[in-house]
Amino acid sequence: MSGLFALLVALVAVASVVLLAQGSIAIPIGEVLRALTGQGTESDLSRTIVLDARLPKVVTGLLAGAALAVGGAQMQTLFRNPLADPFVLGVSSGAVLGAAVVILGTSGVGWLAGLGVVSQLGVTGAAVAGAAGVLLIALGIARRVGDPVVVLVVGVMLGYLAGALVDMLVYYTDPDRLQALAGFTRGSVRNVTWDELGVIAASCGVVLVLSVFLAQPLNALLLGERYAGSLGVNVRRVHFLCLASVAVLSGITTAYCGAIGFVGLAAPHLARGLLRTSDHRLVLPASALIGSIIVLVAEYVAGGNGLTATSLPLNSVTAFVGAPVILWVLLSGRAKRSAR
Amino acid sequence: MNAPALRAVALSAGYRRRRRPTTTVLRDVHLAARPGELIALIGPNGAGKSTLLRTLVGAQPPLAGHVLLDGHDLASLSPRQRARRLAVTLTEPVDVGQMSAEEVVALGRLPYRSWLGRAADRDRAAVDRALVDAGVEDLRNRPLTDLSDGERQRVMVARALAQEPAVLVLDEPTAFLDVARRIELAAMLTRLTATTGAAIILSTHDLGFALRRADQVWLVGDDATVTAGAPEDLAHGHAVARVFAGENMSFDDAAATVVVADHTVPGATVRVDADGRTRQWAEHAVRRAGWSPGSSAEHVLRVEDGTPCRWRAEGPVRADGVGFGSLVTHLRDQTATAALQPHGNAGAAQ
Repeated sequence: MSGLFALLVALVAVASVVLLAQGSIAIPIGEVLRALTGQGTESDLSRTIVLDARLPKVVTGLLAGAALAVGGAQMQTLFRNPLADPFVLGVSSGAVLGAAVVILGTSGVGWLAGLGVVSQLGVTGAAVAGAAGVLLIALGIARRVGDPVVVLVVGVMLGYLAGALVDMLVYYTDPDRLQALAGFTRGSVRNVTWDELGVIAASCGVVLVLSVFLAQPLNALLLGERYAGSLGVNVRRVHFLCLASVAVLSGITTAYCGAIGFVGLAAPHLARGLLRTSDHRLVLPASALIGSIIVLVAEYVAGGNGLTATSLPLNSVTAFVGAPVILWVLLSGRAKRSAR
Repeated sequence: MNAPALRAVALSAGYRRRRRPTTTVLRDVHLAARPGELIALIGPNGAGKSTLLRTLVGAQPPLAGHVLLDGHDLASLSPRQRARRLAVTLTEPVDVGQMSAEEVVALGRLPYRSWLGRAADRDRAAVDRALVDAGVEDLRNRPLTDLSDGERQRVMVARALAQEPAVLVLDEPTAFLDVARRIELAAMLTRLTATTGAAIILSTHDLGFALRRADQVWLVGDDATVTAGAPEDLAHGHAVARVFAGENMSFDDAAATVVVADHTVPGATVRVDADGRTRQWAEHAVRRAGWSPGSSAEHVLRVEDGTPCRWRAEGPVRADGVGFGSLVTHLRDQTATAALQPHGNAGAAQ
């Protein structure tokens, strides 16, 4: 078990270093390590590229992957649905909608315009609120309709609805502001500055660490809400805490990286498959590590390899991991079994 | 006598709903479950078994009165305090994904641990004891999803035992089990009352199980009452018959269960001449034919042991045959002939 965690940590480290080394300008691994450890590098340029251009991207990828994966793992237990994930159930779309309302709605005399950090926080807050709104609706429906496949369809529809609202907002807005929105729907861990990274790291980091406290109650929830209640778990409070943490994790991630799909779905399944247990004390940290690896690898494939000049949206790469997992879950009948 | 582990004092249970009249399902109920007692909660569907159970375990608040758990008012205990004294198993199937039986049983220690706390020796010992007591220590490393319904049921009982409860409440534990598994479960529960000293309350539709196994029966009637007592007292005093025997049903004392009342032409009484098990099953066949076994000079039935049994009927119509199937046919034929049925089916069919 600890060997597996060591392997995952090693993979995260390798993926990070490779991403730091590769790119439009290749930098030797030794030089990357020297830059990271603060020793003298052979050229100032490589130091700048590693620390200022590439490191924020890598750290953002690490955090975004971990945040989405832990959010997905919590949602799968909360919804009692193996297919739940922030992207699939429209939570990310809700976050985009929230952000879009603020970005596009504050044109011209908007009170947020030009307020730098404040407007940034406004967008972030609106994204979290949008995520929370969709989560509340989806959870309300999921608790009435037990069938995971129905909930899945409902989530997809909520996502479309939020997307349509964003499209309508876009239609009525002047083109200048659209640039700010373009990144949202495609998913990207680039273009994140150290300042922004501070917000991501602080909020997601705190929630990720605190989610360890939810591991035991989530284990009890695996038995069902009534059993969890009989074990002394305050089910309503745990629901609220999970909703809040998923809203923050997926809202923040979406606000800075856009909607990155399927990581939250695939990582927990891979974690459970590797660990051969559903114990959240192990599944949550393992999901975080696997989520980080998926996003880093996806970023490498999407353009961080320096082999091509063009770069793909992250979403089109993560779908290669996520879509097969959805099909596997559906076809292996796990979705049906948990619907009983 | 020991102080009751669970008491219901002037308890009224039901549903209080917004902008609609309150539904009182049970009124002014007084009950006491003592340590080591096996208590069966029985009653027809819709009488309020589930409502009573839900109120007793604190899943819904009482309309009036109190539930006392170990002398404490249930409403005043925190969820964790309650979980250390009261454990339940439910009818709903559980799908825990990938968890071994032992991991599931260990969840029963949650009320004793902080949210980050690691299992202490005391927790591990309690889990081991629960696994042994419920007879599932061989299954401890098996994934729960691989187990049969009966095995899974026992693992869930073990999980409840790991809570070290003073009161264990099982909702319809026999519902999905075949006859052999039911008897195993009954034996296990009887054993558990002795080894753990917990009061075990179970709801069941299995009247025979309740009357044969329980120390006390709580009988939920249609009139919002619960009658408590020893199974023999409730059966002998016709309380069980009153609740269960409807228009077409009657309570069969010998079988300790409800049977379809014979509203067809009653057959005569026949003296059954046989021994032991043969006699028992011969009488079974006689009853099934609508006759009653008893003392009769006119009808005598002799049955010889064998596989199948050979029988000879003496009386106005003499017959003999092999196997109880032909005996029942013979007896029914006689009833049909003797009844001179003015509205009989035999005539209509021809």
